[in-house]
Amino acid sequence: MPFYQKKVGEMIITTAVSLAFIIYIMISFVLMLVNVNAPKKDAVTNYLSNDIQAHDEYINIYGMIQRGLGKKAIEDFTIFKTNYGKLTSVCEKKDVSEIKTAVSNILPIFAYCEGEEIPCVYLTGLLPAGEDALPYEESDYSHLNAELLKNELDENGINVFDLRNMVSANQDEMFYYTDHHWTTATSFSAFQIIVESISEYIESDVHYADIDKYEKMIIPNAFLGSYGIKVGKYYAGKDSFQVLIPKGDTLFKFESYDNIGNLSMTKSGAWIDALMDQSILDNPNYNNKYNAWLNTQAVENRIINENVDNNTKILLISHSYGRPLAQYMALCFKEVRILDPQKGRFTGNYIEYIENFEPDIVLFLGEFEGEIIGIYDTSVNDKISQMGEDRLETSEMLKNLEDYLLPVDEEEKIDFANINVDDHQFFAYCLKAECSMGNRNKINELTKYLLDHSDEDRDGIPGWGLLFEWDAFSDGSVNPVGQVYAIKVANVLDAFMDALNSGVLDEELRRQMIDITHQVTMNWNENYYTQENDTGKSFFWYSTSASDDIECINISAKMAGVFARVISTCSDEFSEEEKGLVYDNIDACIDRLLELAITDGELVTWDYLSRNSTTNDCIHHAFILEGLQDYQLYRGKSVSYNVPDLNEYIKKCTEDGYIYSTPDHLSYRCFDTDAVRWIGDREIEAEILLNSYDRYFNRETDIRQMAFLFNAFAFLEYDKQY
Amino acid sequence: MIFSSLEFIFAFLPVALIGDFLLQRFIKARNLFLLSMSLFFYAWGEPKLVVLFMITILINWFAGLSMEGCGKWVGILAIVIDIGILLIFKYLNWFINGINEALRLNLVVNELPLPIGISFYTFQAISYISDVMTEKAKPNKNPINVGLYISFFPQLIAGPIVRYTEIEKQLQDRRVTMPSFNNGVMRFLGGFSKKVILADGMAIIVDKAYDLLSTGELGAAFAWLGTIAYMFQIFMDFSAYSDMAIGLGEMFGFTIPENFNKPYLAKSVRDFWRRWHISLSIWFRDYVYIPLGGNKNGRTYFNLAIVWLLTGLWHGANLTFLTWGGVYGLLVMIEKAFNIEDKTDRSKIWKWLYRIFTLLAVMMLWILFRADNFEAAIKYAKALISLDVENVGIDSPWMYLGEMKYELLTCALLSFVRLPDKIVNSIWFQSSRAVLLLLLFFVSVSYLVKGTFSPFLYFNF
Repeated sequence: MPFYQKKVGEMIITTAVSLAFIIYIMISFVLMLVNVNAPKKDAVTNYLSNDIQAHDEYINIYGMIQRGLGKKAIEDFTIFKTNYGKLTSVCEKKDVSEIKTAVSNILPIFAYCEGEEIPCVYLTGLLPAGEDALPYEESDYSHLNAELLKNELDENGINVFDLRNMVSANQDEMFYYTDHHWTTATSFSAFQIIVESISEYIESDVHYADIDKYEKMIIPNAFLGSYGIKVGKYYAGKDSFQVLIPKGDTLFKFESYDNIGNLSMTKSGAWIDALMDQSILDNPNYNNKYNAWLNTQAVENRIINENVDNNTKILLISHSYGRPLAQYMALCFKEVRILDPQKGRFTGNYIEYIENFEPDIVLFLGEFEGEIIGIYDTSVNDKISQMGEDRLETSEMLKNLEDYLLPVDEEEKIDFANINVDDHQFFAYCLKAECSMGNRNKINELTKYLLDHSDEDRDGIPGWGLLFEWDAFSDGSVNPVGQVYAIKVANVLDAFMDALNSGVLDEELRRQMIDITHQVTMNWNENYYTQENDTGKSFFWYSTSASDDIECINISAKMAGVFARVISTCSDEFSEEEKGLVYDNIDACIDRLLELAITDGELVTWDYLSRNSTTNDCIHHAFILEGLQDYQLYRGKSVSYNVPDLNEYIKKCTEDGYIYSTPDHLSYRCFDTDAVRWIGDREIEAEILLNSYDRYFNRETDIRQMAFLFNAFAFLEYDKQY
Repeated sequence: MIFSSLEFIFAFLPVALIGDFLLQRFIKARNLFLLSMSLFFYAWGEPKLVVLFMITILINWFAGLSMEGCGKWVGILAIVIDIGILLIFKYLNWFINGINEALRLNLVVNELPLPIGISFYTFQAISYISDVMTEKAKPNKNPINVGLYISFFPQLIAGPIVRYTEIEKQLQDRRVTMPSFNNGVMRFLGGFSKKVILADGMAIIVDKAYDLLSTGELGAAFAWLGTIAYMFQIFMDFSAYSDMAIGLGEMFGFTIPENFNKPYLAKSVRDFWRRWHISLSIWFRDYVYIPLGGNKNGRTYFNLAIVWLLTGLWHGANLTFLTWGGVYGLLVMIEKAFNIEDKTDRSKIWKWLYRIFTLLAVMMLWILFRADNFEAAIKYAKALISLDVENVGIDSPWMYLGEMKYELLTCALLSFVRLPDKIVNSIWFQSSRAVLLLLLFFVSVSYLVKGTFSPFLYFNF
């Protein structure tokens, strides 16, 4: 072939490839312009990360390549493909001390039940593939950990049902191939064994323990579970999803509650209609079919069987493995309730819950691959144990809290490396407390720490938030580690203003803090504030994520109050134009807030979100009151309420020296003891704080709560507010 | 912003290409547009420090212009300011900490953020002033052109370092032809997939090795695997950036010089540095070594020592980098003093043995380069010769080797194999490569959508 012909041929192909590339990126760009709802950096990044065109197909391509390359380990070597094709994770060996601590966390539940003569049974987990099935002879200590855990449970006299020896499914049928959960067959088998075993303690109707009383519904190749979703169907394959539907007439009532105790869903009807989200089962594009169990709800669910002849009440404390289990158990008993102890789900007190619910039996299924997971508030026992003892002086309590929360090194400087907290707000509350106490060194150190950690999302713009991923509104938009949240920003700026007023800040630090405060204030007012003339909405965003452009009433109130304080305290730092912008925003926010107030006699409340009528809990009610008070004080404008009189709602959340989330749900604790300051009765306030100290002190899982308490105690001791 | 991000590919690049295409015939407007895009590109990651960057541009433009009337002292002043800014932002904290430690003082300086790419753009700015001072180039009256030279986004953050004389004419007049555009696209796609699939793949092994080191679990087998992986990672990562920079340059009508030439095939340490980060070596030769007198006046070794210590320090404010550069300087001086290159060239066996020695020396020195401090580097080196072959925990080196074997093999091929020109220039090779690169582009995007990505290593320098 002549040289020029070769060159032309090559040119045609390279030009075609270049054009294909250019056309593709141009189309993608146009699609981005169409789909991004705000011309902002975060919005663009969020869209490209989560909603880019053909997102799922890209994941499938990724998985196909991994499969082609013969990979057996995915997700940075944390998930493995077994020799029979199932995806599974592996565990490191646990220390005995870790196992002892985990058992001690749940022990009070069993001790309380024993005292009340309520049978309480620990159900072991089932274990996926053993080491023999793993590639590269990879080690997995889940079996060993499970054995050590069982020994520890036995030593503590806990009644253990070892499901590992009872559930008879084959190893390769026990779990989904693409997911970490039990298959429906495994759940059903576990249900049969449990019902049979607990019949000796309680009255049950075993009619539905027979598998012949069910029809099988199988949706073939429809389920891509938690592991599979990471690598797509070409790598993981797809599981078939089975539901065993009870034959005959059934009638159920289903209620679901969120993590502050508000009723979030009710359904009634036949078993499958009341308990399962059938739209998930019917939608071929919805991959995670497991979510259909219990209508996707995962905090607190109540199932009432209207057709059963007994009055037996079951409490199942379980992670997600218990969802199908609860559905099947509900066929045999009058009422089954399930509480999910995983982080961010049920946050109430387990002892108090059992006390109120009075179940006939408590089943505990909190084990995952040889480890007890979840967070268990069982501190009523602490209260009982300490009530009779002489209380410490408040000054000693304050000192204890400070020593615990802010450990120091040999040079008496705060040892930040040994503070295990994933929330910047913690340091803000500690800073507020230290400002009350006037401790110069710690005020400077905490301020510096917050300034040094003001850009965890590394976008070059200061702000404060959470150091873990979080889906704030459970709408599928998971915010990344380091995401900036309005309430964290508000509390940090509030603490900064306290530090500024303390007059002990080093000059350089003071200057730096004012600069950052100025930047943060303008950033939020310029970029994260929405005003909609058609709907009347005026609000600051919940977070800097475009998906959190949501009117959350307490957020706007708190932000308005804090910005009024910032402008008043650092007036010289802001130009007239900047002040005008901030004032316009916060005035509109407060006007809007007053419009949204719900008045019922003396009781004035607000919803949590303007878009639906979800009750505000007392923590967020207190944020609104703080915002209103600061707004009046620093903006110099009055509102149509006497703010201290708006405390009726908070008062209703208190009972017997404790404060709770809402008046209707007195088993859900309020974790922000700062709200106590609004009660207005010194004796009650002091009693609540002292009881809270007994409840929270020295509990690693409650370290964030302790920071609120620390601040409240500092007020008590130094400002003599109480 | 980085090239191997979805934001760059699907948001920034389309806008830049459309704008550049529409302004083809208006060179001034085109330069202004590219300057604006470059500043936006920089501000995406450094919204505050972009101001410092713009000040640097203006100072150098003004100094270049003023030299005609006021003399060379203005140029010297500008270079002092450029170096001063670099010293303050990159080295001041390190220097103060060193003084505090040595003299047991307690001097406190606020920790300053390290502006991304400061070492690269400062060197370009110095290149401009030096070329004007030595009359190799005329001062550019247009601040947009000077700004574009210093800030041009393809090579702004991690090079190659372009000397002003190399690009002066292109600032006034350049054309994008279909073949050059195609070449640019191919080069960019190659770099893109090299970075996303290979460099980031190697990073998984390297990061695990250093994690195991920090927990005291690193065995010899994993230590060797980690060393080899890092050798590949740094080459794939940095050369991928250069490939993308050169490719983007061509897409916008600029010719950016090559930065790598199969460095791991080097026959000596001196040869390695002729093939590795070529633009940096040339910069130091032209703007430090030769002005110091080069190999004249009997100060060759002194000048070499200065250049190599500075090369080490340029990579970071840390004694490990200084030592890394120092050891390279020493090896270069020994090779020069004993004329080793000529001697080994005479015997095939010695040539190959010395080639292997060079590769091993480079590999070992990468440990010093990667480690956070001397202690970690020594611990790592000890792990290499440890008798504990396996790690303590559950992370098996054989598993990582098994899982990453294709990536490792591809890295090795790209590092050590040079295809004959006849094959490379053949139509079937060029055509199939083009199609393969397009497929690899979609695969790479799937890796990015999946979220497997890490920043470029040379962003730190």
